[in-house]
Order: sequence, then C-alpha cells, then structure tokens
Amino acid sequence: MSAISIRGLTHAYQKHFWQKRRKALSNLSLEVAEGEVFGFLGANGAGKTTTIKILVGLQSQTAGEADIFGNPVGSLECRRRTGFMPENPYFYEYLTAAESLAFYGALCDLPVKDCAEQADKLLEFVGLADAKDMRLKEFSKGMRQRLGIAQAIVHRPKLIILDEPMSGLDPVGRRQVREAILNLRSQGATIFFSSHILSDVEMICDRAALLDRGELLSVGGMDELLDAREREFEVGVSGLTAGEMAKLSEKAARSVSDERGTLFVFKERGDADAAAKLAVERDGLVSFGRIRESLEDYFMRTTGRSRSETEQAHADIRQ
Amino acid sequence: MGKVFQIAKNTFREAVRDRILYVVAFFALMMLIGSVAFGWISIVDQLQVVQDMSLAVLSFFCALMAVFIGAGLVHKEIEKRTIYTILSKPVQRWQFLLGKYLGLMAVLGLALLGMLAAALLFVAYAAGNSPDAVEKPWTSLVHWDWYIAAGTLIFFELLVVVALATLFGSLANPTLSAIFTFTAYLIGQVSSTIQFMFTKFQPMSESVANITGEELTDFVSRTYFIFRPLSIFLFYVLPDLRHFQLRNQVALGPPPTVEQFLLAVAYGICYSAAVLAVATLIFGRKRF
Repeated sequence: MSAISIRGLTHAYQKHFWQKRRKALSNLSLEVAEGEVFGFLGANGAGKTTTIKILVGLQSQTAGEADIFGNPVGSLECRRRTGFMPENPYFYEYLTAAESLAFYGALCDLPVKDCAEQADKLLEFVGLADAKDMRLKEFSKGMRQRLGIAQAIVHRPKLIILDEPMSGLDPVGRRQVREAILNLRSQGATIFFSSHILSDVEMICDRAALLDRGELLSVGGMDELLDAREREFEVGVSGLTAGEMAKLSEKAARSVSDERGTLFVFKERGDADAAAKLAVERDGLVSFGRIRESLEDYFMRTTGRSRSETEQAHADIRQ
Repeated sequence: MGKVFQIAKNTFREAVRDRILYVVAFFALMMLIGSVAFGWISIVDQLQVVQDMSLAVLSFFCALMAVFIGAGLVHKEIEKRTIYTILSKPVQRWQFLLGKYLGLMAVLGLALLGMLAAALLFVAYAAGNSPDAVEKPWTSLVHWDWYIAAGTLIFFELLVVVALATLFGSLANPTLSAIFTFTAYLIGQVSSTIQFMFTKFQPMSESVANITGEELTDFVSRTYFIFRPLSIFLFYVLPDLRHFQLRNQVALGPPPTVEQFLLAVAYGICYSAAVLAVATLIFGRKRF
C-alpha cells in the first residue's frame, strides 16, 4: 500500500468574490511508497504548501482524491497516522518545550503519564534536552524548527510531512534536520518534505517530484531525474610550462587559476584524459573529476528558467 | 472530552502567564475602587450605591474582557499559525472550539472570582462604616447571599458573551468581531425593553388616534411595521441579558428568587450552547 496516493488533485481559490478563481494546483497525481524519503520541489507559489495542507486536512481540494495509507485525507484515522510540521512552525510562547510536547502528545491520545516521558525522549532526539524547561518565546528559529519536528513525531506516526524543514536554518541546523530525517527513515517512517534547498533534497531523498505553477513536471528517483551522463570533466594541474598550459587552454571549455594551480574544464573525455596524462608525466596532477548535472541545473532546465530569467524576476520583485 | 480538557487547560495556562490579563485585571480593580469611592460621595444611601456600582463595574469589565479576548480567541490561533499543529493532529474542530471556549471561561471565571472577592471586601468596609451599623450589626446590613448570587450570574452572562465573541470570531476579523459582540452585548442589555416598547406602541397609537378622532398616520404605521419585526428579531435572536442583572434587586429589592436565579443559569447555558453549535458549524467549514 502507498503511504500517499494522490489522484487528480485540483485546488482553485478566490480571494474575493469579485476576483477570478485561480488554480493553485492542477490535476496532481502522485504516489509515495512506504519507507521512502520523498522530496517535493518547486518555486514559491508552485503549489507545494497547498498540497501539504490538503494532505493534513487544513485545506480542501476542489477536485480529485488523496489517501494516506488508504484513508481519505482529513479523516481522523489519517491524522492519527500522520505527523506534520508546518513551515516556520509557531507554538504557544508561554509554554515550556516539555509542556508543549506533552500537550501535543495528549492531543494524539497518548496516555497522560506517557506524555512527559515521550517529551523527554523527543527533546533528546532533536537535541533540545537542555532547553526542556525553557519557554518557547526564548527559542531561536533553529530550536523552533527542531521542536517542530519533535511535535510532528510525538505520536510515532508512520508518515511524516514536513513543509520546508530546512528553511532559514544555518548549515549546522540543516545538517541536524537532515540527520533527524534519515534517523526517522531508519526507524521505518515515510518522510514527505518540501524544500527550496535543492542540495539537501539531492543528499537525502530517494525520490522527488517537481511542481511548477500548480502542475507536476516530473517525478522519479534522483538518478532518473538527473542526467546521469557526465557533462563535463575537470582537471587540476600545476608546474606545467607556459607552452603546455597554452595547449591545454586551447582545448578546454574554460579554466580558472590560483596560487595552487589551474583548473581546466573539458567537454570531451579524450581531452581531459590527455591533459591528465600530461600532468602525470610532469608530476603536476592536482585533481581529476567528472561533473554531473546538479538538482539545481535540473530544476532550472525542467522549469525552463534561465539564470537571467531568475535575476530578472528578482529585479521585478525589488521594483 | 480529554482533548477538549487539554485544549482548555492549555488556553488557561497561556492566558494566566500572559501579562496582559493582569494589566486588565488591575485596571478593573482601579475602576472598582473608583466606583466604591463614587458611592461614598453620593448623597443617597451610600451602601446601596456601593453594592449597585460594584456589581455594575464587575459586570461591565468582565464583559469587556470577554469581548476583547473572546473576539481574538480563534483568530489569534490562525494568525499565529498555532492552529496548524493542532488541527493536523487527530482533533475534531468542535473539540478545538469548545476547548478554547472553556479555557477562556476558566480564565474569566478566575478573574471574576478575584474581583468579586475584592468587591465583597469593599462592600463589607462600606457596611462597617454605614450610619446604620451603630444600631445593627454591620453584617446584617447587606444580603450577602443575594450579592454573591448576583456576582455568580455575571459568570453566566459571560458564558453568553464569550459564545457570541467565538461565533463572530469564526466569521470576521477580531476588530469586527469585537464590534459585533459589544453591540450584541449592549442591545442584549435593553432588548426586552425594546420589545416591551413595541408591544405598547400599536395600542398606544390607536388610543391616541381614537381620542383625537384621527386616522393613524402613515408614518406611525410604517414605523410600526418596520420596527416591530426588528424588535422581535432582536429580542429572540440576540440574548436578553437582563436575566443576569440582579444588582438593582440586591440593593433595593424585591429579593431575587431561587427560580429567577435558576432560570437565568439555564438561559445562559442553553443560549451559549446554541450559539456555540452555530459557531462550530461555521468553523468546521473554515479552511486555513
């Protein structure tokens, strides 16, 4: 059985009755298998949060169906099996971390005596054991994010839905969240999360889906999505003569130099091999590597956005 | 009911740790002292004025707290997005709404209890300093049971006001919701008077017409036919808050009866339950 099954999900909304209805989501169909880490990608306004809100029962669809472990979304049974962390989670500021988790535990039908114990365990799990008695208004963004994960898993759900769990975190915080996600997967949970941070998705997801303007552009494993072919080859050299360097430069697509040497990027494998061979003979090979398509390249390629287009969009926003 | 209790407990805990509640309670206490001072400088029976004024201040201030906190009760959760983490758990919408309502009622009940205790001290002080205290023991100058009953009915009035604030809060933003609730509160204070006025309006107009031998003017007929249904609507839809007002009887008599007290309690519970049921229907359809 799929953890999440979405069939033809559509959501249209109207801010005011005199305005036209706009589609936030259009005929989305998707399956997420049990036990996988699934990344849900898309730019702002792509429909990621709308999909997530429908899955957790905060929003309703205009058309289509969605099930979680065979239960229609929004049902109590569905919410019993799902843990959810919203984007930038907010909590009751005057409660302590332990009180907050005990409260969420009680809402999930955990026996009262187990709530405090479970709260302690979870605070340990997300690295907030020292902040147990601290009021949440004193929490930093990273701490709130980690508490957000803790409240999502307080009832040991089989499916965990995280909306932008890495948003606004520093590299240490992102690493902690990544580790928490992988930990949860190793315990058998299915994780469905949306993110803007493509490198994180690339690192931890088994599969991902790309959404743009409410429509699903592609879905698949990382290897299926990314062009598996090596696109370019890079060779780092040092100690070559000026003539040899000039010869390599002729064949290279581009190069960059610093005090440690020069890095040549070749389009053809044969040129890269020849450069590497020459550098080995002169005892000057610093590095040799293949460049594959990154998720960011894929994102730009699939959504049809070029760097200049993105920069133009940013300039428009600034104006 | 476990989840309702948890949400109520959480609402109560949040509110008692929020400094704003103490600021409002302090302000109410100052007004209470002011009202008692007003009683002391009045030329009529000072003890009666102190009793009447202190209950009026209690009722008004608690209603004010109920309007302003109640109007933002649900909206604050939506605005701060704390509702996302609650409604994504296996919690029904009605459990959330009822929990928030009961939590706020517990807070207001506690605030009312504190203020009622302070008011009783002021009344006791006024009774002790009353000229009549020379002839009779000061404790016999006040009907303490009536006074406490009147104070208790303020709680049941608050049940109704908070239910209305919750209903309007599910429909509109906190400012509009506070305006609607406060308007309903003010109309509720006089709705039975308006209703009474219009029941007498037609016969009075007819009597005047008979005496003077004139036809009823168009204006009178029109006014009657427009405002009579309106008065009926206001009377039957908006709460009749006069049920909860015993303060005049406490100060001047006639003594309130047990039936009158129980009727007010039953009215408060039934009316607020009906309003909450409508609020739940509306809130259940809300999307976030």
